[in-house]
Amino acid sequence: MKPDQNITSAQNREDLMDGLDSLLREARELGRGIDGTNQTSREDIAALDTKIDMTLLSILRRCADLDQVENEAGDEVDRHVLEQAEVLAAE
Amino acid sequence: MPENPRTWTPPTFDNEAPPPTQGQETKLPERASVKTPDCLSDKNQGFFGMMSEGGKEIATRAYEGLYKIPGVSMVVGKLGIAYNQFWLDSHEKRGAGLKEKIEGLDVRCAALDQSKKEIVSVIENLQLRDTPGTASLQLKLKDIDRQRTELLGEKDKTQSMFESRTNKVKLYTNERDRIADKLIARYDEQLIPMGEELARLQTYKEEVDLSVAVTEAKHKQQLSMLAAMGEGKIKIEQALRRTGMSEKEVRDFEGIRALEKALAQGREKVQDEREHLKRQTAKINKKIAEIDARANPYRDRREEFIRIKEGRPLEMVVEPRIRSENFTQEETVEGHPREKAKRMDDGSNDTLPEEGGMGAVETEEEDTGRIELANLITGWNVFLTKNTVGNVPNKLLINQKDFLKATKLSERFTLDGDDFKNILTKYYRLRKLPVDTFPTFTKSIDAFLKEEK
Repeated sequence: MKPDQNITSAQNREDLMDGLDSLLREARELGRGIDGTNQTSREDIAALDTKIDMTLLSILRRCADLDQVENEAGDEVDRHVLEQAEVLAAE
Repeated sequence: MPENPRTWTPPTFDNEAPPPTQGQETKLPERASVKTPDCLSDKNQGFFGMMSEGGKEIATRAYEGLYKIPGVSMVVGKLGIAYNQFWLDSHEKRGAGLKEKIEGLDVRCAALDQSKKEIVSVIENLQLRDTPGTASLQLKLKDIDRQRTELLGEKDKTQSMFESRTNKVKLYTNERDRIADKLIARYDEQLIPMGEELARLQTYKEEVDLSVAVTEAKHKQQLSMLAAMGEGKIKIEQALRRTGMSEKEVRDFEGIRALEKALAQGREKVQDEREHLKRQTAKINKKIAEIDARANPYRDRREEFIRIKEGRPLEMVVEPRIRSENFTQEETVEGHPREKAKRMDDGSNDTLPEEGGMGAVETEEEDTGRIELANLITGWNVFLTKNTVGNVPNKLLINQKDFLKATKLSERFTLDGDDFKNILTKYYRLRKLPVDTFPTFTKSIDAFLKEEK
């Protein structure tokens, strides 16, 4: 190979190395970008999940309250039925 | 509870000694007591234990029906029993029986009145012709009056029992309604905020969907960049081969290997995150679906309590009774000289009780079709204004600031048509904008995106 061709070949290779380095930097930068996207997504979903859990707990508490209301009403109806049963028996 | 010795007949059970007769030792015979219904609380079971045997029998029979009612809550079943067992089986039936008896007495009174009319007419005829025999007919009239008086007395007693019975029915109904109203009020206290919370859950779900759509769009962009870098890597590899490096030297070249690793890691991160997101959203959707299923029966039950009150007492009407006039005159006593026969003036001024009337709810990248978000939003708004009629487009016009806030994207973020359509749909749902009233939404967005390409 002639000296000029050697210099051209070395120049080409250096350019290629520069291109490769640049691409590698971009790829790593993009990797960090993907990490950022994922982190943001997880934080957002986690925040919503917490709100959802709190709302669920509140709803479950209300269901428990309603169960209690029903039990009390059921007792009242039972007493009413038993009293009426005695009235009818006396008739 | 004291037993009424006159009306109570002790129930008999198999293999039992008969109850003691009068005069014998008053020790109660051993017998199996009526089984306490399982559905009673401890307090009410205590009350049940103190009841008479007759009362226990009636109550037990009533509760047997409770377990045969499928698919309704216990208290709705009990309210149904309280209404049906005691109302229909007892008070209303007895009330109906009394009413029939009253009507029967009315019929007999009417028959007596008819007979009296006929006899009076016969008497008048005989008197006109001066024919004897009217005295016995007059006696018959008296007998009819006596029978009528007895019937009216019996009717009075029966009507008093009837009125007392209908009042009992009404009192009973009011008590049932009071319990149902109390239940409904207490249910509303919880159901109204529960409804708001369920709506909020739906909003959270829509926010999750929007966040996922935005992440998917970002991942798509990042994958496309990774792909472009992959192309770049290939070109560099080809160039390196042209410089004289062998295939193996190129593959083992440190820079190339580092680049391959970075690109592979990038793709793996995206893939892992996609799977993670899928699992998370499935978990969230399941939680929301379960709580919705848990809450629904309470909303149904409220409707059942309202329907329970729809059963109203039968309207049983009998003529109202009239307060009778008190006859205060005296019978005139007189001598009876034997002259020509006179007509007897009986002086009675019976006033029959009048039969009253009846009472009684892009950077723009030409190859990938990615466009900057700000341009897409502006373009979509312009498209809506030009291509649709009526109020719909005003409501669907996007406020760019709000859109960017909700999606947390920058106005320079580039995305393709499919991602814009996906994110836009989820945004409209989150903001409760009337996409459903815009039947050609899908066609319109497709047409718009075709124009943009």
